[in-house]
Amino acid sequence: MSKFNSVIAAMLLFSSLNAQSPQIEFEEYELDNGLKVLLHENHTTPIVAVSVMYHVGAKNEQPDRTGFAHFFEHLLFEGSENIKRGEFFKFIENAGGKNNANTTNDRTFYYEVLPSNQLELGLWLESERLLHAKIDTIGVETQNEVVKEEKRLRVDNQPYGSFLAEVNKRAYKEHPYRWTTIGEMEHLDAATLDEFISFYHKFYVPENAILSIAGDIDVLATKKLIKAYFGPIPRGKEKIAQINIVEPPLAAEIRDTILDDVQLPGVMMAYRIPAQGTPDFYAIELMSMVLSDGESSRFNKKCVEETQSAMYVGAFPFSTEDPGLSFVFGIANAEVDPSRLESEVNEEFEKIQNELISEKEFSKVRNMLENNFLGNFRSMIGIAENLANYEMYFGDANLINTELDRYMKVTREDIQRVAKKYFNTDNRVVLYYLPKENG
Amino acid sequence: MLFNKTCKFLLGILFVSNIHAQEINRSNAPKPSKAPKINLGEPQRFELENGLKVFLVEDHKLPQLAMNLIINKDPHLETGYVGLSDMMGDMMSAGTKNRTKSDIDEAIDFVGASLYTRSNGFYFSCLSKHAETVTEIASDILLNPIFPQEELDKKIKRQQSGLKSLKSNPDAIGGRLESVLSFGKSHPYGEIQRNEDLENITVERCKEYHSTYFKPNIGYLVIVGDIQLEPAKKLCKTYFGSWESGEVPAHSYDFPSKPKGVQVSFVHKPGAVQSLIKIFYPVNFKVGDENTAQTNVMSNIFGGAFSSYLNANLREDKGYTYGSRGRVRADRFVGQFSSSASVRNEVTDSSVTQMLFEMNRIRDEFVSSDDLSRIKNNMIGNFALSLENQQTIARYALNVERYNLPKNYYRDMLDKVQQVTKEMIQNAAQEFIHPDNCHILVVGNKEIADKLVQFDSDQKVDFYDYNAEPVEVESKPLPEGLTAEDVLFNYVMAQTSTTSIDDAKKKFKKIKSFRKEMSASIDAQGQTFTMEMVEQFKSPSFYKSETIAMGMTVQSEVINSKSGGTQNMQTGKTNFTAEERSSKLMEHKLDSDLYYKENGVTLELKGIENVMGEDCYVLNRMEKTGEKSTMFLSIGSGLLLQYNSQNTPKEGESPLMSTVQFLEYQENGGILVPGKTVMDINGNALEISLKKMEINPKLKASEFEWDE
Repeated sequence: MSKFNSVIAAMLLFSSLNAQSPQIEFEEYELDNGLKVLLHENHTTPIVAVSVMYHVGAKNEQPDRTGFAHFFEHLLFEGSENIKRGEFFKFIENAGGKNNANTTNDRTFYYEVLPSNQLELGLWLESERLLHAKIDTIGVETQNEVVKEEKRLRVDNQPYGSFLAEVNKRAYKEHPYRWTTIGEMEHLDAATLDEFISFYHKFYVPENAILSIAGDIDVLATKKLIKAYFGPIPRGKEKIAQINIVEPPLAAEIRDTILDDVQLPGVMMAYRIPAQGTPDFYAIELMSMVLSDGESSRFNKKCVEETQSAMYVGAFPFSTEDPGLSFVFGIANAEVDPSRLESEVNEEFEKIQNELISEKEFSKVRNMLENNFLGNFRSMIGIAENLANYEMYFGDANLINTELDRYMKVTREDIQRVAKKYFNTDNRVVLYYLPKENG
Repeated sequence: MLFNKTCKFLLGILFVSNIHAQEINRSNAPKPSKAPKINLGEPQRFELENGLKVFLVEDHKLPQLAMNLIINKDPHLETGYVGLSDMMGDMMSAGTKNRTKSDIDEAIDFVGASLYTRSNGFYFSCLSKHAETVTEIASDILLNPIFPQEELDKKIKRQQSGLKSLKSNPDAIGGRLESVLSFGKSHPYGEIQRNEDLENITVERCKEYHSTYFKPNIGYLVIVGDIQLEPAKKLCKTYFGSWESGEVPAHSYDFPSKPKGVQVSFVHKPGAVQSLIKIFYPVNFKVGDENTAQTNVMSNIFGGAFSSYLNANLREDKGYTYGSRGRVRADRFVGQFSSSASVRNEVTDSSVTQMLFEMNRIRDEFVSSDDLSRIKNNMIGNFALSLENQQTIARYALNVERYNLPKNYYRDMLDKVQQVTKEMIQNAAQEFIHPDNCHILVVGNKEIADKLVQFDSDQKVDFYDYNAEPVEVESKPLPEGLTAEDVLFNYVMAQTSTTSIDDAKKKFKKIKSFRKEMSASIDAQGQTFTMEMVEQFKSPSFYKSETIAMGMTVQSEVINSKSGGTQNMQTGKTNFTAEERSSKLMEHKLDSDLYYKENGVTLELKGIENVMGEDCYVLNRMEKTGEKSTMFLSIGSGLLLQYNSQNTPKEGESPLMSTVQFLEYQENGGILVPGKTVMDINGNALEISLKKMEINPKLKASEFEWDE
């Protein structure tokens, strides 16, 4: 039987190699001020994605000043010494381009996608943001209100919206992952203008950033423009300390009940797992797909269709730079005791711990994975972001071409092994969300 | 990878020259360099023996491919069964000789592909290594569809509720009228679907349609992605080679007649507080027209962009509307000019004036150089960005083939746009913008129709219904001396079968409690969902309502003497203030209309209108809160037949409009209540039937408890 498995696995591997894996060529160098640059030249479409990734996320914040990194994602669109308030967006619109930004626990990402003849506009905008963004009282006050609206919309006013905050603070005692990216509003209120300015000067410096550009560019000419716009930007004056906090193991299961404005009981579980990029993390991703990706996934077939104990159950590992969490998010149907849903989920974990997954399931998730992986290359901005991510986290931008191999190395036995190793009761937090009035 | 080496070289020179001149000045935004050329892949072509033309855009960046089949049939009339071709297209993937619908769905999912079918072909995308698997399924769908009766029944049912909900949707009504008026009923573009058409769409007709038109000799198969010429040829031969060619009927129609002068048309929507204005007419603007670039730039300046003439005037300057747009659109046979705006009633005629003013302005005045360069940059940018999507590339490649366009048509478009001058804009405007020969359609309240007579060349407004049939709309005069209160009190007396208002009051006083059970069914996605509703009232101040769907309480409202509130599955729990409790309670009582004055309601008797075949008094009411609504009360029976209301939307939101019709009144404990209530909220229809109404049941106060 095991012989047969390896033949199948080899065939699948062969066919995936045979279908040309995408190869992204890129150039990589560093300016004197420490700014890393990644350039991908691609003339398919006359557009260019210009992006800057800063190695600052929620985990770089002070425990009494959470939410700063995300706040900057808003603040740094307010303008600069040469860009008047509100004009940042106008420049991009008039060029027929688009732009956005996002923040995680570990980094912040800003980008524009422009017609390629507007490359210089993109470089100007991003270098202005890095060199001398406007951080003043009006901007801070305006964005403070906007961020509060965002929190009301996405967290406070959403049923189960607090689950990340509730899980994180129980799953970690030491590590900054114990708070959320959006942070505490009181911290933002209490912060002075000087604190914002010094956060900016500390983290928004060339040696803490990666400029990643993909699209219809001429590498040589682009390099010269980059030098002109970014070269004169001085290094920061402060050293950025790495976060070296190692969270001790949980040791025992943590259980709690949250009373919230929800109508249906929720079962939230979080298992401590290794950091992104480790072999075990890839195996955990495949395991989670078997459990919860698609209509034919195990959780869906069991809990949603067969027993109908749940409206929805999903499993998703979070990729984080430091060891993180893999979540199970379940919403029970009305009149269903959350413990019933929990025991069904537990049974599915036991099953995947005790039996190898079928060949058919294995090839299905590999097919899905391959499809998903291609999503990363479909657009210039996707390529720019992935190059920057791989460089920032692993110091190897070329993983954009090779990471799929790491997934494909995962065997059915690996899936069973990680299920056994990490998805145990003493390695998890379990929260029941119950409607307030029943409590 | 195919790319234009010359172009790359030119770009290189361009940048180098930039660099030599480089003295960056941070205080100003850098100027864009010259618009780049587009590197569109050059399609390869081949033809199967059966006449299917295939062209392939090789793109090996990713191991994926997409296949799009287009049956290039002529548009044709479908008199008697309008919509047959769309239904046939939808039904192709509902089962084949070899596969059930669920077999097809599962097979597609397993390989992570996506596939859909339509009246003129199919589209799928997948990993290139699964190309053969998915092509085989697509071929089965194309060659062996069986059009199962039960799948057709489901789809027809869905379509019927769709048509039903049209009536109250001004945009849908406007779209139907625009088709008919612009192109005429004798042109395929002017056909609209009615209920009786659906009855004539059968499995047999679907089969016949499929076998008549789905022939390879009028087909184009567009393959974009990771496959080379030889394997693509083999794939097509294997799966589409046996597809038999055959004669396909050709159709041609006369160019629709353009409006002579200005013709104003009106669709009356009882109680509407907003008017949809549309100005349109057919134009002779074909895909590939040599003046495409200047016409598109002109069209964007006039009404395409956010900062266009129309939007800047009606929204930014006058604040009449959330947005106004307009464009000249090219087509294979008949192009069209069309512009629209939704405005509040009072400014309907002023808005028409401004829309016509802007049509004249772009003809008479040169565009400013700022406007011209901004729109050009925006278009060039958006055009370039859109090319990142493979389907855009495929569409352009197909158009080149289908419309016999020059090979480099799209590649040269950016240059052409860049070269457009203000004189060219004016030429395009004078050719395609005709404020003196156009249709002006308004869907709205007929009260404002009189003010539109001034625009019509014959000084006459034509009225239509939502099926574009002409209707007579005449106002009957109100009886002398009749007041709004008379009409409302008549209704109260009719409800209680009394002849004086005092008797009505006495009758209501005897009602100490009631309990109402209702059920509703909603058709959605081919499934029927049912909801149960229970409403209970106990004098003096207890009220409770509950809506239950699939065993869950979706929504409830409770009021008692001390507390109350609502609970909604999605939005959660809200407590009422004492003030809210008393006003809600007032609304829920059966006799609330008797005390309209005490409740701060103001009434206005507007006239007589026909609703569901009965002449009705039209009564406008405004609640204490400022909420406005319209009641339609039958002149014959005195009863309430229809109730229209509209909330005041926040900026940027569209208003929530509801129409409620009351039917089949029946007597319960001396009171007439509607047995059936048909609601329409923003085009979503819901029918509620009364299952049981108890007057003076025993209800305990404990049933009305509320935890704050």
